[in-house]
Amino acid sequence: MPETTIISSRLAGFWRKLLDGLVRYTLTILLALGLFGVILLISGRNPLHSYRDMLVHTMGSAYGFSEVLVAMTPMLLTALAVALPSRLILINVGVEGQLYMGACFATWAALTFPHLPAYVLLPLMAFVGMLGGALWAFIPGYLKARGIVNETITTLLLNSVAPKIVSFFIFGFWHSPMDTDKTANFVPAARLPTFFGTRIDLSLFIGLALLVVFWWFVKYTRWGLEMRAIGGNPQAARRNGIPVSTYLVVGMCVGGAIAGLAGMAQVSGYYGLLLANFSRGIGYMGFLISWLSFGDPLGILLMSFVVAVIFTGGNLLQLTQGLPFAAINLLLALTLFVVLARPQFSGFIRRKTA
Amino acid sequence: MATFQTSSEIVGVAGVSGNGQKELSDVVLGMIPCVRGEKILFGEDMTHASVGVVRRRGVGFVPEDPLSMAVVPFMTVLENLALTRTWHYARAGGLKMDWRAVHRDAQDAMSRFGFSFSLYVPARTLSGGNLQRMIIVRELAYGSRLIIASYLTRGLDVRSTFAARQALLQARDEGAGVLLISEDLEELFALSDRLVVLYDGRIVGTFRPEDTDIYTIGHLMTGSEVPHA
Repeated sequence: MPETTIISSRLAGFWRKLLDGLVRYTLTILLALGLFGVILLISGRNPLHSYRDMLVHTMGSAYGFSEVLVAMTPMLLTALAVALPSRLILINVGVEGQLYMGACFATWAALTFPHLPAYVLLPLMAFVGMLGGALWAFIPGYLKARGIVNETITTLLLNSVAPKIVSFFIFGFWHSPMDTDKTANFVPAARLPTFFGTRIDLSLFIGLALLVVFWWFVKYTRWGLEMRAIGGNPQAARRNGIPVSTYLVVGMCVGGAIAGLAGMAQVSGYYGLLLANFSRGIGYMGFLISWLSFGDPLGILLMSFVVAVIFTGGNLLQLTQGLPFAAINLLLALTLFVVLARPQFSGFIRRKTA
Repeated sequence: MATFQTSSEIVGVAGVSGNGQKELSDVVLGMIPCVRGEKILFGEDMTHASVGVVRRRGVGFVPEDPLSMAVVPFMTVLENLALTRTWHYARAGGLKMDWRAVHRDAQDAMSRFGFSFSLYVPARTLSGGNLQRMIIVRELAYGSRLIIASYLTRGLDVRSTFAARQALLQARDEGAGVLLISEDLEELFALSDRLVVLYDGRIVGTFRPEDTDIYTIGHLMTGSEVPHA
């Protein structure tokens, strides 16, 4: 096949995939919003007013938009922490626990070396945070690679252990003189820099950069090719000489390291201290986003943004529409259910474009 | 201890399915560990070597069911061709792959064996015959010194069967040793330079094809006594 033909067929394939993705995501969101609208109607609210409030307060002002990005940042990172191992068919439900361990390790660095300058302390916190997440993920990764226990079970169970370890350190050693459930505020050198006079911090740009690296890594590198092979047919990959067990352990650890970085970013950026039970389910949210986007980098970006809009807007709906926050969880659940109907969408799209 | 010394030779392994052929190929490949004895390949102790190491030393493997055992169905044919030698095609320390080299090598191998199939379609879209041709190109063409071929022509049409057999003979003539595992005695007699019969996980006979006949091998395969002529 001539090279120009190959390039043009690949370009056509890229545009087709992009269009297909956009149509799919738009239909997914619209259908979920439609279903949620029915629930709003039943509860006596005007869906159009609710959605208008949600959009105006999030996208209608620079401040609202910046708060969406702030909410999106940890979701982006935790979704990546799920997406990378998922390429190896590893179901990393344990991002929540890895996030806690990353935050715990980073807090240790912040409290132990408060005299260090920011340019040393922040990389150190990031490193030990990633180490904490990676070590926590190593346990299920190793057990999976040795064929002892399924990683879905271990990661899920470890999720309930990690917050207790964090609480043990906070209540036992690190709590501030004023509060028992949180540490003292970190020194300024242990805080991530913020930008544009908002609460957007460096971790947003790190998350976006990691997203690009993830896309490039999976698509172009030797290891990405081998990961896709393992994800596509583990038995064939093993017979072709790819060290599947090593990939399983390393993949899980890298996912854990990214989750650990998200934990570090939360304590260093968003809170500026370590708080018991600080996560509010960010790890599970990342899991949801990763599966909503099928581990696709562009999909992760879009879905984490959409979920952040729903989250931030949902907070406001409590004020403007008198809705309980549980209603937002309902909307997210509906979105997930609609995504599970993707085969029907794909069939619909194919029929329309045929 | 079983010794399979082979170079520029096709050793046919005859046996009824379930008598240790798959285990034999898996042990040679490194998929399952040697629990007893040792595995010497190309004069090197590879008893505990991983599949990756064994592959790198030049062991090719044509499995009985390529789609489930050798191929990643959603990846393109070109990507599948690179899978056994990613280390060879990796550039910049693995940060990128030299797809031009993969393409070039694939074209060379295809013309060598007289095969023709598309390189840029997902492997799952290939017919059974073309899939087997793809596996043969990957496993036989890139300087394999030992080829394990399990049920080489199972499910193939006449044309594909002929092409697969010719490729195996060509690889043998170029210096490769071949372990041909099959239940098809006609194929074993047609291709093998030496025949080994497996029954209940043990070698129960070794023959030159010209010194034996299909009935003797058949009896040994089923574990029954060979009737005296």
